[in-house]
Amino acid sequence: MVKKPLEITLIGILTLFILLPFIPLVIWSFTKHWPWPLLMPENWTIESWTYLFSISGRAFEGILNSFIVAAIALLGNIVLGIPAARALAQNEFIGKNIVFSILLAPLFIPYTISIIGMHDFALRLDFLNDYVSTAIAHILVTLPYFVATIWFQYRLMGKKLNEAASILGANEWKIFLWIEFPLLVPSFLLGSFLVLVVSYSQYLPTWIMSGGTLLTLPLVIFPYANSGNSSIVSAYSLLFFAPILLLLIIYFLLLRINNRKNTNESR
Amino acid sequence: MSNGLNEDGLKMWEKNRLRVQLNSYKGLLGILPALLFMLFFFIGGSFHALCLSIGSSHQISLLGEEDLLWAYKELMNPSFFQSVAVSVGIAAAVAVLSGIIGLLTAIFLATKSARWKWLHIIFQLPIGIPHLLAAYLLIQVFMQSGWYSRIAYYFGWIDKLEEFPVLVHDEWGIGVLLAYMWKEVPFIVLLIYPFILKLISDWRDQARALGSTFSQTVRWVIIPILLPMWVGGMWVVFAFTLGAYEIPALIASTSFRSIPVEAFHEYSQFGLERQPIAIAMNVVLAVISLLVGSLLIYMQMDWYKRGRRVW
Amino acid sequence: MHLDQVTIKIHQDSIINSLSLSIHPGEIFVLMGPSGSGKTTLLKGIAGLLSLTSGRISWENGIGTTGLVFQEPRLFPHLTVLENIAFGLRVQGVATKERRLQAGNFLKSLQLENLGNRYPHQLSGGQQQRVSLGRALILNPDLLLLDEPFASLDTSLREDLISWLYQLQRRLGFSILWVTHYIDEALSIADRIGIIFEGKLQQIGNPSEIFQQPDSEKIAHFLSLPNRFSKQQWQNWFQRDLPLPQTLNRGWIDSNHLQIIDEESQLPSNGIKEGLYSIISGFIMKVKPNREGYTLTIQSNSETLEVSTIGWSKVPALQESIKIKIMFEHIYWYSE
Repeated sequence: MVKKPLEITLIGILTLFILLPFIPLVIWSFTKHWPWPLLMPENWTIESWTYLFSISGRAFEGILNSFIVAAIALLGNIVLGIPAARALAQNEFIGKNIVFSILLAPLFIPYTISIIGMHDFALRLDFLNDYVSTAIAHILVTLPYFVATIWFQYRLMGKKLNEAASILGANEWKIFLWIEFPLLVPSFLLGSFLVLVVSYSQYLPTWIMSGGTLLTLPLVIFPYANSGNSSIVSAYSLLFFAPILLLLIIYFLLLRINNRKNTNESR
Repeated sequence: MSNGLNEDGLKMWEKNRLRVQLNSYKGLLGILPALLFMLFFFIGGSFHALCLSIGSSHQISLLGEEDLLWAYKELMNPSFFQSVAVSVGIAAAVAVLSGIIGLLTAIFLATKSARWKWLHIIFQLPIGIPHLLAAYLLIQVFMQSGWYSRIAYYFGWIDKLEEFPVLVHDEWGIGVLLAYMWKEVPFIVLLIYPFILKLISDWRDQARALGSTFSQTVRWVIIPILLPMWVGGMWVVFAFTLGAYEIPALIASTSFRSIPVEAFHEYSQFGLERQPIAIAMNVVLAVISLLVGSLLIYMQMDWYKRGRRVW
Repeated sequence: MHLDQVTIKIHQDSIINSLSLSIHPGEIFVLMGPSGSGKTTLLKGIAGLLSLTSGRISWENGIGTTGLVFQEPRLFPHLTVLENIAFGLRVQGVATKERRLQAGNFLKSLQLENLGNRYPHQLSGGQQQRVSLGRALILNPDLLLLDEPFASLDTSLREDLISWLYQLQRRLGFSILWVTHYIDEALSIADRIGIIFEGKLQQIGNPSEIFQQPDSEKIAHFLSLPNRFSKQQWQNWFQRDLPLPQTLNRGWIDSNHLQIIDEESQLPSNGIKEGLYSIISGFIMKVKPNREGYTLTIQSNSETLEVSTIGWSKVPALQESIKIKIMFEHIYWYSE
């Protein structure tokens, strides 16, 4: 009983630690001048927001570039990740652990070195454009998350449904489309969300692969963050959250639609 | 007649068996694209970079002979070793601290009812926020002229800006640690929460029937069963922190020599000449993570060899 | 142990309804009931895993201890057999050395002497369940609560474990509250049996009472007693008013007590005084062999009866017409 208040206090501190930093961020984006020790600034302005969307602010360019790279990365993840997760979950074979560890390796070993190597490859194959080569680097970073998520769902599913469908005469594609994919939807959505968010936040891989020329949002923001122009960085940060929030909403909406469909079917 | 039927049947059987075998191979084929991708880009990329760092023939020593390992030789100095110690130290501290806090938080959340759902959402917020911005968010509140010092002033705890402790660009990397914790504690919670939930529902009744209190159940049953998963999560955090650039680049003081920052500095500022140095630094990081990982895997194998099965 | 007006609610649903029950020291009390009748909830309530909404539990000796064993062994996968058995001692704060010694000694009575250092996944199902029982028994509980402990094991293993546990219980003298849905299991070990429906104890009695004299049609149906008919139907067969109290309006007769009679011997032998009987005719619908002979399903007008024959020599034929003799004295009467 003595432990309870302590427990609540610690969780409270942790919650504030996570939540509080967002408050001054919002405030800063609406002011230019906010001297210590004022808790709230005296003058408010939207200058930073107008700058963001001006030519030199490059916000649109950043969002667009980030979006293109993330979309290619997601596509690559789907093409590479789903068959791999399926094979790993449904088959037992010699060396499976090794194959699995190779697929998950970028989670456990810092990957900067291989991206430097990939950049050198890409230089030699100079027909690859920056979007594609950057997206490849992002696939390398995100594939472990995607494979692990999908694999976990496949494991939960087991092989029984497949066997049943196979006995009833369905071929591989039909099994996948009619049986597996509908059951895979929740983890597919979660995996895709992770891929998009992780790709969206990459700084170093993007910089290295494009030689610092492909201005995704993090590359646009970084110099400002380093310069200490609080107002502009804050506005950028909030802009950065917008697509993530949007993705989160889309994710929950799709998940809900999917759940509703399933419960309707089961009725 | 009956013989023919038998043969037909046999053929049919043979065909079916072949189809099943073929299907199982076809299933296995699915791994190939991803495996080749990883082999080519991750392992191939690393290997290629390694070659770049060793075989850079344009770097010729004064004596006119090629010195293949010059980049690595240049790293053999106390200041680099110190950087290694700093980087490994901060990564280990982040991994262990966020592992412990994340575990405690996950257990706390798992024992609470649906009324605490909002807390889950708060704890998942930092997952979607990149390290770059996490660093910035924390600078914003923890620096001496930041929001927390203003709050401290408001409550009368401090009178001057200088009285607020130096937490950003500090010597000890406290700011770096805080920023990483902000990102990684929620990551650990996200990773282990579903498992904790399942373990508690599986074992709480049984352990209680044997008289054990909840804290004993957690210490003697839940944590040991969760151990491989939990340590794996900490390894991911360790490896990531070891190689990540954004947070130390923004929060650490210049005297706090984090390897990723130095390597990227070499890589982006001094052109191709110094590229082997940048690669060599990253090689050291990768090797350290590999060593730590191998140790963990060895420990787990040893554990399994003694007969334990957990999952 | 005495339960006094115990009620347990889960999410506003009453699972156990003011139930009272006493279990005597050294007794095996078997609890039977359909699924969802609250058996597991009651066990968890007694074990303290669920709190009682109202009512109370009291013990002969002040505070009693319980052990609970579930259908699945639920052994801790990361602990050896020995450590699993010693878990409860560890909770009580017994020193490592001492509890290893105690658990090691206890292994003998579990017939698991050489398996102390194995991990659960290395044991067979029966061995796992023995460890699970041992883990509860080493704490010397006053009352052992068993929730269908052997239901997932195959028949012969189940029988072995039941007789092993029975002997252990008679030796150590703890009492058991045993939930099962196997009638044979209940019959072979129970001192008393209780039937529970919808959170209420319907009938308590020794095994013969429960099986021969059910209190209600619901219980008779649950025990799948054969040849249950209303008093009206029996009266139709006997073609007279049966001299019974008003409340006893149903009766059942065991299939062994129904006699198939030959056409010739059908005439009543006037000399010997026989009890009241009736003869009904019908034809054979189904023949099911059993160990003693055959169990026949007989259709007579709109009713079906179950009749057992003894001996393998004569195989009854389907659709064969036969006559059955029913002795009034063999019918057990009960109320609706």
